[in-house]
Amino acid sequence: MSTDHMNVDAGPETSLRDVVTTRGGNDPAWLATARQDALSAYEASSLPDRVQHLWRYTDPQRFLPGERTPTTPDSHFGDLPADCQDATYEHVAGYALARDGRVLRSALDPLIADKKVVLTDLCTAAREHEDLVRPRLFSLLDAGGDKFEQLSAATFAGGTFFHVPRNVTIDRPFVVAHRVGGDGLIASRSLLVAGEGSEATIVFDLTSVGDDDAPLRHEGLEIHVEPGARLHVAFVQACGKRVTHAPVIRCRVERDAALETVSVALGGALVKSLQTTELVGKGSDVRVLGIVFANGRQHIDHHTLQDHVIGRNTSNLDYRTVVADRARSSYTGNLRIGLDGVGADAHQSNHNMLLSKKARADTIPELEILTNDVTCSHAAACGPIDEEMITFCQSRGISPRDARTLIVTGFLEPIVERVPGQQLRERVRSAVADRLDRVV
Amino acid sequence: MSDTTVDRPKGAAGTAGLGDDYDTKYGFHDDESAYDFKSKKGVDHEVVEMISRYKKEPDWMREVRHNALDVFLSKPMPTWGSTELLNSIDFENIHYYVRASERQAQDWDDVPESVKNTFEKLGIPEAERKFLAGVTAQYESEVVYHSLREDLEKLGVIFTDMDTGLREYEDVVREHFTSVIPAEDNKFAALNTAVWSGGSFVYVPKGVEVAIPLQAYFRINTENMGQFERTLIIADEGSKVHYIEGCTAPTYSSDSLHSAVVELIARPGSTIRYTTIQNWSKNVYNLVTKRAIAEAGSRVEWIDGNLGSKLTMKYPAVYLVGEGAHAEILSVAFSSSDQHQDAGSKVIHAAPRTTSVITSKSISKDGGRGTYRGLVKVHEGAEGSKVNVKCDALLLDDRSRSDTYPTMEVDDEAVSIEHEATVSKVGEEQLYYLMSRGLDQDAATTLIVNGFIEPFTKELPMEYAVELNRLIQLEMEGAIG
Repeated sequence: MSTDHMNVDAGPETSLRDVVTTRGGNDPAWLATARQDALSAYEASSLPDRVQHLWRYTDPQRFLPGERTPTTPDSHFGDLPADCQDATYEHVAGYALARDGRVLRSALDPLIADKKVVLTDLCTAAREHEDLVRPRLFSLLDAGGDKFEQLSAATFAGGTFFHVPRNVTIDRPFVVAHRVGGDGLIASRSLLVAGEGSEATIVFDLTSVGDDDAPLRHEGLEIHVEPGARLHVAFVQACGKRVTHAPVIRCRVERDAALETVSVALGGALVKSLQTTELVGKGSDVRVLGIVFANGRQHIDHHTLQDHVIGRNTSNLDYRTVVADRARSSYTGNLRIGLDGVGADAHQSNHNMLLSKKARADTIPELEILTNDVTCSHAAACGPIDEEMITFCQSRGISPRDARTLIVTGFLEPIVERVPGQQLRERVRSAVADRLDRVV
Repeated sequence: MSDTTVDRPKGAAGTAGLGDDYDTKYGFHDDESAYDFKSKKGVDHEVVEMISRYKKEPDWMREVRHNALDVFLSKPMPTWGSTELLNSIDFENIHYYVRASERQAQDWDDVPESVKNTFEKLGIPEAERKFLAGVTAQYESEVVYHSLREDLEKLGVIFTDMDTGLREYEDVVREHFTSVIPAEDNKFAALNTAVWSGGSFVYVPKGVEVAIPLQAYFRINTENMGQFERTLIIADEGSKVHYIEGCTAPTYSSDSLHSAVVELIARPGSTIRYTTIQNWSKNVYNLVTKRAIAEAGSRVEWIDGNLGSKLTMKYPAVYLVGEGAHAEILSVAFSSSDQHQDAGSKVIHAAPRTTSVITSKSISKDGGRGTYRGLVKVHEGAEGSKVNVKCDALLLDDRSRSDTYPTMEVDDEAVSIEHEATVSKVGEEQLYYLMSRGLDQDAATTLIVNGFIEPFTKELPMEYAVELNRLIQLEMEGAIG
């Protein structure tokens, strides 16, 4: 069962306003209006204040489109990734292929057809599933207005819409393979909804077409985990070294629900990722995991927020970073317990391993606690590979080089093993091993 | 308020001609009888000129002040921290210079009841109470001080107020003044540099160890509780000194803005410990810049307690510029209702094998807000450096708030940085245990709080530690404020 979602934008794309109007032309009226409003908000808002920690280490100017014009999505995906060749759906429950921000094609295991899971392009969904999309789309956008979030809300070419209906449980992961190319602005938005009591896993596999492609990528994601649902999401970003990537991920987790996100950041010249998770109900459980492995002159900047609006729930964040050569990682995170957050159990941890003298790691793990009956902690550490561990390995006959590889691999593995899907996990492991080969 | 609404001359051109009519206008010159002077409200080049002329300062210092004022006027308010409170400061409604005789003339009856009660409960002697309340400017320790001063003089230690320091040791002051904290550092450092008065000047010669702590308290100086204190401490090679600023008893001030600058210079192999216990009355904005330069093998320790004020923003800093230098920052903040203690620390590792240990304890109760804000920066080439940061917060009720904003920037691989923070309430089990031993809940909670800040208290001289514990006890009973 597969559907094609190919749309060809009319005419050459020039100004942002023209693009928004053209792209909105295929949308239902409410969405076309929302795009125009977002563009106005984008144009009216100033660049983020660099005094605030969120943008302390990365210049927001570099994420402005400037001379770049929005890219018309290519309609050709290229070779299918291994996961998406699984014609028998033995390992995956379904997949979507996306190019330059738009889902070209999606397919689901025919055996789950009766479960009414939707995996399609967001623009298509806005037309065909208005009842599911309209109440939720843009509902998690920061009211304060993140400028770049408004940009993707206005100009998105498409994106993933994933909906798991109430009480539906799918045991295999869904895969969204997304390739980007060119050097224009690629904007996309995705909306993931795990309905009440449902259970699902979805993986985003992001790569670029060629090593020389240098697009500016603004992506907005909204993730709704409804009461009692369990959702596991992975983002594996292995773009080429010239891509600029700026995802904004907003998650909302309701009572008794569980959300685990795993983010793997390997590619890109400059990455600025913002991920916020609101816990709005009791009994929920959130895990935010991430690894960053940067080399060359990569600069990867991650910001997270764990926001316990309501208490009696747990959140755990674990970000592990390895920086080599002249690469730089910046992690800023906030753990916030609101006035009604009584009984929250929240932890945040960021460990950084520096493999070279010129590498740099910044970390700001913040706590903002507004009530007292809570258990909160954070920890951060930066350091080189422990010499004693290398000496120990040598005493067991392992060369220093192998020892370093082992230690770094072991440091990252607890996060890597949380990447769903055997094939994808193996790909992450081999990407880590390849990079280690070059930097150790 | 915004600077842009203030129309004032900028730069050197703006100060030219200022003060020409000084003598006729204010009639100061050498006339001792003119000492009942108080500057007009607000700050401008005229006020700065007046302060400097009044103090008969050398031209260079007057210039430093004028330039700093330009910096103050041109710098925007910080856009971080407690911006709401910061923006509520009315710079136009402050006397930037008040002669001590003025303050002395203040009436004991004007001191708020709550402050008097606290003195009563702490058992502060009558004379000291008036000193602390700013009613009298002299503390009756003249005799103690005199003998102390003689001992110090024999060692070659200079311990005087900053104004005297400038008069008598002009060359030393000129060389080091603003060398650690330039006026351009931040808006409040600029303000202090423009209008400073009082504070301490300390110089400890090579190899001299000052056995007893130097206390601003003992210094016969009418201005040591000034609004814009300026302190400079230089510990020469291999010397050792402990300086204590403030005291545990509440310090009443009718002025709402206190903005001090403290510069420490630790020469190779020296040790400086600087202990502050700040307990300003709860109408005070306490915005302080404190920084130390630590050369090779030296050790700088900031022991910093914050109990009073409405808003404190204070981040004692150490720049570790010489190999093997060590920084130790130990702080406690107690925030009660309508208080925000935004305190922390800053350590810059700019030399190999430098080490730092930061320990922060904060307690919030009755809706108070405690913020730890820190920066640890390790520059490239500072290999073998080690940093350990630990922040613990205790929240005593569900209306209080705790924030932790640590920043760590690491530019070198061969360093080790650890940071940990916890936020908790008073443990039910601990309470239960103590209460099972016959303590009531208040006493048990107080005991737990005292235990929580013990790493801080044990670093204080005995009399301070005793007073601090009693003060905490009073705070816990809600007997203050």
